[in-house]
Amino acid sequence: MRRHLRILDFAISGLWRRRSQTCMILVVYFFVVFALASVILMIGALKKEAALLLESTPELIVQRVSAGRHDWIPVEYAEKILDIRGVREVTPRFWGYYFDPPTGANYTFMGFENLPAEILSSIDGQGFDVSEPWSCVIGRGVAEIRLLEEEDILPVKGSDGELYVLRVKGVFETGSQLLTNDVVLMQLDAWKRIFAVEPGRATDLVVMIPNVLEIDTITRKILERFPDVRPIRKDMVLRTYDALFDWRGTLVLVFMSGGLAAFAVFAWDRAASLGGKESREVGILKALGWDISDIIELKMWEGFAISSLAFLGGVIAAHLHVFVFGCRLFAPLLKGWSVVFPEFELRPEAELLQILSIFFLSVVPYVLVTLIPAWKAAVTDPDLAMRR
Amino acid sequence: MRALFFLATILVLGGILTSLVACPPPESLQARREGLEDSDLTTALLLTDLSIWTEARYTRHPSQSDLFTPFQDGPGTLEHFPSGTLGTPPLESWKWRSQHLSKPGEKERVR
Repeated sequence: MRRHLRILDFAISGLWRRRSQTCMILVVYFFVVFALASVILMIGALKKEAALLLESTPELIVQRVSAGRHDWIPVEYAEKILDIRGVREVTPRFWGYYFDPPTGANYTFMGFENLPAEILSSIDGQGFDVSEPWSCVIGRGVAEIRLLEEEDILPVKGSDGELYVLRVKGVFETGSQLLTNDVVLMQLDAWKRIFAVEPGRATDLVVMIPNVLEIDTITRKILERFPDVRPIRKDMVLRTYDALFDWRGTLVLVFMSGGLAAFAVFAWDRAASLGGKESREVGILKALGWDISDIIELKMWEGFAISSLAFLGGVIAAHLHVFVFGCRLFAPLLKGWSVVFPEFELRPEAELLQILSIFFLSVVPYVLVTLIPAWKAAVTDPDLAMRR
Repeated sequence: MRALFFLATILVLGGILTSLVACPPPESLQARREGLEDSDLTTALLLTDLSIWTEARYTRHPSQSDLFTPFQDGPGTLEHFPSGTLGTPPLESWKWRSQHLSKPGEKERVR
């Protein structure tokens, strides 16, 4: 034990003697681990967030497709779908997009006959009832971009060219931004007037199926009866988000791959070839009686010291970047051209597997790469090594 | 000894990392509770998508969009929204549909 500690001590002293080189590689290594860990932690957290929030998404959505595009669905489809054994309830959904010219933002307008009572705990304000046909509840993003508060008005230009005025009766709390940031809830009649939707039409239908084992059969039966519809099952929704975040993460990694490759070349060059001074040092050590195993251990400790410091520092910094500072560096990439973008807090949970994968991607290759030149130098004749 | 100083540094950094991973801050637990409320919101409003990318229909509701939406400006138009470029099309539901479209004679069997 004492012997290993002394070799480690010697390795640290050697790194300290070459401190400018050591610092340079440590800084580059740190930033590579930081960027890699930030992407891996961010994507993992976003996937978990999506899975948690969409856990109770409807089991089956039925859309009508016309000429390959989403089209209004006749509400009478709901009655026929309800006849299928195993279906408990079919609810039409009324939603659409509204482009707001003053801000250049897109909002999602949703129409409800009655405001669901469950949402009252998630809004700041009293909400509205059937006696207030031109009232609305808005998402935090809409309130911020239009500078709106409760009892303010939100003018909306309808499809018929008329200006309709909605009165704000509530704003969704900040905690629900990931779901409701751009949402505007209103009475169904107001929604239909604004979008000039024909009577008997809905955006899509939500099919409630109590027994999940029957979803496949019911979906097939719906397709048999209505060839013009597209069923979207809950598992497809969840898989879409999994694939979406995986794809985004992969693309970020692809963008970073140039930097990663440059670091790999740099690390290989630094670790895999011993300079004149280091080669002479190995020769002197051998002449003083060090074994081949001692020299290999020395080089392994050097590699371990650099890579473990860079790994721990990089992962801690990435953790703070993603979970404390809201992933500021990668936000523009996530944001795209969205005018209304939610402020959301990612949650650090169950990251052990991700951290282990970062460890095996960053520390292990670096330590291994130091072994080959160390072994080569260690088996060289001391006299020859000192003359290099 | 420099070795002991190094090992102490590694232990401290390892301890910080372990505490960050094993003991999430209290606000995270609060956030988790809010998350559960959000989940109720999903049920109440029958939501299917996250309100992250609002720039286009197919990025606001990726799970609900059709395969043609990104090319909305006309035949031959290139998809041009940054978020759309970084996302995958919702192929799962379209694959399922094409695989399960009824064949002649299958209608009776299913019913």
